[in-house]
Amino acid sequence: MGFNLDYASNSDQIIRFAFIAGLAAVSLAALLVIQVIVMRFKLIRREQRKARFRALWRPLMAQSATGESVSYPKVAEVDTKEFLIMWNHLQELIRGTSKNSLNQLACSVGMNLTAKKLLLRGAFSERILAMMTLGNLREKSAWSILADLMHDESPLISLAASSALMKIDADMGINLFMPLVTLRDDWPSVKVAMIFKEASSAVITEPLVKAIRGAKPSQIRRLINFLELANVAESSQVMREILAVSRDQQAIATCLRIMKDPRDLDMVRSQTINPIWIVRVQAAAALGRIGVEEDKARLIKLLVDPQWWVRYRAATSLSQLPFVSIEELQRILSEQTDRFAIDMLNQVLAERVV
Amino acid sequence: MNYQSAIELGQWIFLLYFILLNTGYLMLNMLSMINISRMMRENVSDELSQIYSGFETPITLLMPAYNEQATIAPSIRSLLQLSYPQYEILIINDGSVDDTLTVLQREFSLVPFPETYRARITTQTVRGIYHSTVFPNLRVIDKENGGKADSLNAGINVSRYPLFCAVDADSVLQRDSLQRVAKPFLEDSTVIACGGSIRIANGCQISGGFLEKIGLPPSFLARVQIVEYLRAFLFGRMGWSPINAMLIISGAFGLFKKDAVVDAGGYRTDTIGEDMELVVRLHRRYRLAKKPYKIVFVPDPICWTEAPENLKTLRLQRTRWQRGLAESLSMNIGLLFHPKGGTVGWLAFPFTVIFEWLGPLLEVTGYLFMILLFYFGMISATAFWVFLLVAIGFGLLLSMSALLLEEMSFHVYPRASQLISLMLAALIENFGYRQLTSVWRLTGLMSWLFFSKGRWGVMKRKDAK
Repeated sequence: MGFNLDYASNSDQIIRFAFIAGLAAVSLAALLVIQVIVMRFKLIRREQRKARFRALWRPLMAQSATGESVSYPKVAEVDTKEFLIMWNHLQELIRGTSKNSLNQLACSVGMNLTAKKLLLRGAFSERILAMMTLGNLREKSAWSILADLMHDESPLISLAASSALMKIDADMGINLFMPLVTLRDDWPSVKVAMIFKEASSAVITEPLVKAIRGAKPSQIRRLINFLELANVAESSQVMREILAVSRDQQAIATCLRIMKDPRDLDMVRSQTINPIWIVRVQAAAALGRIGVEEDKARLIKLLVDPQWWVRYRAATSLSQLPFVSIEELQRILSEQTDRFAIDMLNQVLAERVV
Repeated sequence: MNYQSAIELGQWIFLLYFILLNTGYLMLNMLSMINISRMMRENVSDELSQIYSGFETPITLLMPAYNEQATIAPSIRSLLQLSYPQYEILIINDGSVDDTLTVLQREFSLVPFPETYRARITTQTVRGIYHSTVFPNLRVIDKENGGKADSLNAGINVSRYPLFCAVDADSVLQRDSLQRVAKPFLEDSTVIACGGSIRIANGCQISGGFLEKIGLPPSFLARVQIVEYLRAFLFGRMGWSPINAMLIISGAFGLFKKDAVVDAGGYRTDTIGEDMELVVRLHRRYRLAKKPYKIVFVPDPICWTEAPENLKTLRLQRTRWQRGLAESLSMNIGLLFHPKGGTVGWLAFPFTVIFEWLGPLLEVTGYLFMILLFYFGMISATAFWVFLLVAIGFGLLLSMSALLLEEMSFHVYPRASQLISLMLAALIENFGYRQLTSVWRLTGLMSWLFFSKGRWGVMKRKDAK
């Protein structure tokens, strides 16, 4: 059917307008069909090439990681990204001297130079890959560029740069990284914790403690979360200082959540009567970790707390104390008159059995 | 106004409506395209680094079940194999009249458990709580029948973790689903809810509750729904998410901050669109209180669900969805053009009212109007066909845009023949299917206006393998 655009009625305008709009939509849809098909063909070719590349390089990388001497083919520029993805993935999986063997492999095919080029001129994802590569290679020559990139606006770029620097030299890197951890609210705690975790607790403890002591009250709450990754002695000391002066109940609760030094028992005990329930919960949990015989009474008292979580933590802490047997728990239960305390102890007893 | 100008006015109204509707969706499509491109370029570091930091927030998975004896065990087994550092699974048996509870007791060695919990949301009576002796992170709540929303509320009461994830009993999850959907919560403390992309499992090979091979269903009806889901998720939600104006998180899979939901009063039990209503209510509460918050969407295909393959079930599903939408919007109508409503109150809400809530009425009336005018000779054949060209042309454009987004991002259907097949479905759906769903949605709208509330949607399911 053909459309006659030479209309005689008053509806001409509408029909003309509608026809043009409809035709434009159909034409655009047809263009999209072509684009989708072209994209699919490109994808198929890319996937086939990727499969061939992986089939060739997977065994080579595995052999290299075991320290076997292997001769490597040249990596074509188009395969660089795939190589780096495979190589970095393997780096995440292995430990020890195998990492060095893999590093030799990367250098022998020029990936150290390629990564530096990508870092300066690559697309976004290539820059991230380059940073991961340089970090895993412990490429000191990239230090200054990475140190600049730590200040990049994008959290992904700045965190990838930080991670790379910490891998290259954690002792030096931590001095650049820690001040930024304090300032960069846009860095997810999970990612920061992962970088801390990769460094040893010996490396992070002193700078972290120093950062907490120098931080504004608004920054302390976030920083103390990382204390559980630091050495117990130093972290306990700084937590004592916080508990002594802080009025931030969330910060106090976080300290209590982490505390595991029996010397802090008095401090923990004093918080079991804190008017804020989130603090009492953590105090009850801390007593479960470091409490002694006389803390049983405190925990039993908390079984009638108005807050469910406090009662639950008190009951689980009681049950976790090494000197409280099931029989002892049953005896405590038989002495209770409060319905909430009885219910909670029943539940915890059942949990222990299950 | 004479008779001829009334007809012309009507033609203009319907024409402009169709063009505005589709232009709106195309704009959302543009937003999605920008967002998906950004996500795809940023995901390289996530794909490589799969180490847990220990700082991940624990999650409670809530799976309400009503007469799910055929599918419940494999569904739970798939949940037990999810990869996430700390999570618990709570199955809520909502007074099933089949053997759901017996199957659960037998398959997971359940024992009655004297659980105490805070009933912060009022629900139907909980008859008992069971604990698995084999899987320490699996518990079952057995309660009086109260509907899906009531079950979820009971689950929230009993849950122990700060985030909860509502999952449908027939959902098939990817192993890394929780990891992906929890990511926004870890990166931004203001995130209170996150929805995931739902895909259609028909035609896929599923074993032990896990997706083994992705495929297309032989049924045309299911195939068309794949295109519909792509449209709904890849730009319907992905478009609104960057401007924090997404009004729905599918009940099949969504992660929520428990405190935010409890403070809002939990799921409403007097609507069948409890998933959408909760999200709209959360927007309303946070916007009006001027509290910072985000409700976000992750487009990764993380949850697969079975789509109806017969017209009767599909009709029931669509009328229920439309009714749920109407209820959700009407219950939160105060947000519409509220001075503090922001992008939700001034953009997403009015858009949804005009194009989704009242859309079926205008669409069906538009089609009828043009057919009647043509039948009675009041418009020329040319005008009639041109009207169809607009309606179908834009429909086709939207479907192809969704396929383009899919091709740009996840291309989950690996074979070229599957892509061609989806393109054909996208073409054919414009000749009858879309019009039919508009009529069903209109029925849903009418049932919302004139009839009483519905209950659990019953879907005929194949037995799980």
